[in-house]
Amino acid sequence: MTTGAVVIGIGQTDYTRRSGRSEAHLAFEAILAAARDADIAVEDLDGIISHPFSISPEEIVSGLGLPGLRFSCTVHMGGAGAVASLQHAVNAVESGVASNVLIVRARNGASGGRINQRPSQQPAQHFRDQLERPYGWNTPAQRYSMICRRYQHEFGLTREQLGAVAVSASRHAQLNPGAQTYGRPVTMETYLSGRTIADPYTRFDCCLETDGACAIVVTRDDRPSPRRVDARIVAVGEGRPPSPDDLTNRPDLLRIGLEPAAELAWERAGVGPDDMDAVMVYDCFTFEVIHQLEAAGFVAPGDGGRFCASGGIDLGGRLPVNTHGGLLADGHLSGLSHVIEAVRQLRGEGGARQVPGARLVGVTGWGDLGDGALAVLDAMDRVA
Amino acid sequence: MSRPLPDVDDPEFAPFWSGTSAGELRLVFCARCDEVRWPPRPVCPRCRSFELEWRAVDPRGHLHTWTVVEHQTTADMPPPYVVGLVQIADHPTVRLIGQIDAGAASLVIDLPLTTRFDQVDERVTLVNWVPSEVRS
Repeated sequence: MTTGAVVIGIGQTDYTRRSGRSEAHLAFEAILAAARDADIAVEDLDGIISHPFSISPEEIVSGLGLPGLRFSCTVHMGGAGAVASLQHAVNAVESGVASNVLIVRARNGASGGRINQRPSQQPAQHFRDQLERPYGWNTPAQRYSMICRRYQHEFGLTREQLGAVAVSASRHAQLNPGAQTYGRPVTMETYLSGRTIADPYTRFDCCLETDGACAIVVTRDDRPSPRRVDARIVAVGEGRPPSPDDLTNRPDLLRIGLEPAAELAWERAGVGPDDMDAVMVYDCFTFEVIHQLEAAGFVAPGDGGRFCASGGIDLGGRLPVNTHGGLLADGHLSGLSHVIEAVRQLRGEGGARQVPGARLVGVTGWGDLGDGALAVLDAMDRVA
Repeated sequence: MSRPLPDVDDPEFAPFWSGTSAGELRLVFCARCDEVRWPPRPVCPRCRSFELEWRAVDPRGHLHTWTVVEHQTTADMPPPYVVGLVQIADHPTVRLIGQIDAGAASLVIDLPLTTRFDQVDERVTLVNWVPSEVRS
């Protein structure tokens, strides 16, 4: 079973720590690049799915001179929104409500102020203000490190297992000239020497902060394409953990929205985790790769650390993860860059980091207090 | 810029903060089915009643998990400090975030803790924790 929608265009800017441009400028660069890649006129973009607290459809309409916007929405699931947005794009094009749906992410995440300075996007801000911020607990690293420690307590986890995730991402980024850390590899020695941010998370457990933008265009699979193989959206699932507005009172801190999301996606797709040739995992922190590989059924509970440390997630391994370097080493574009990498792999545009014969690729999303999403994409051969 | 403080006049939380000012840990209970709930919400998730009451509970708990903050992210709060997630002993479905006054090396999962009410100003008393051994 598959949807009838493909990712027809992808585009991105460079990923740096100081773009020197506004978020709108970055967004427009990525959008124009995606339209060129799709071989469509910019004017033909008629649907926009925006990120909350970022550039709005109105600004894109005005800024690019789009005459015919007919569909728009926002998905409020933090970093899971990019993957969850794919379902809305599918719905729009399959129903005929729109023909060319744009999904965009743009942020000066490095130069525009560090994470604790940005307004928080999480749900239930009053709980954060009343019960959390007064105690100096106010960043993702501080929150999620507590989940990591519970996992450590229940299953065991070593520094080297976490480090293996960071090193794998870095190794992949060295094959990706567009990656923010291209040319600056992180070895296990580097990883182990990183200073503590919020124990157990150290510097190289944490994802990058990035200035940059990326964009994709989704259309129906029976529309003209400039290429012989396109990445098709097979299925999408979204989900929330118990107590999704409050991590602290969740009965089991290890339960995440990716579990129900993955169940839905696998069921809709008619394939399972073992069928994937690669997976792009929302790697906000090293441990979250281990956590999500288990939650989505790629490895058994408790086996994630060993799997990562054994080389299973490396190019050439059983299940290459984040062949672009991910949030840890490529750039933080809120998970949309992970969709783009999946598309590149399926098109055969992976260059030095191509997974040979990639026909099925998964993409996870993680956001806010554990919301999740999973998309399955496949390679669709165009009839000449 | 000074450290963030809760708005103690927020109607959903005001009884909690008048409790801490009086040296009491109060939680929300459903007046119809008795189920405790935290954080405070308008409706009982079990029986969906809007009737609630605040009750004082035994201010002891166990350390469910923690982080040691070493990179500063809050004004007026230089690291290192320990933020813990404390499970309330008599109501184990309830957990509170608070600072733990103990060396990082002494922390273990399920460490017994007792509340320490820390007055910040005439309106705000925060709920932090010390190892129960220290108190007895």
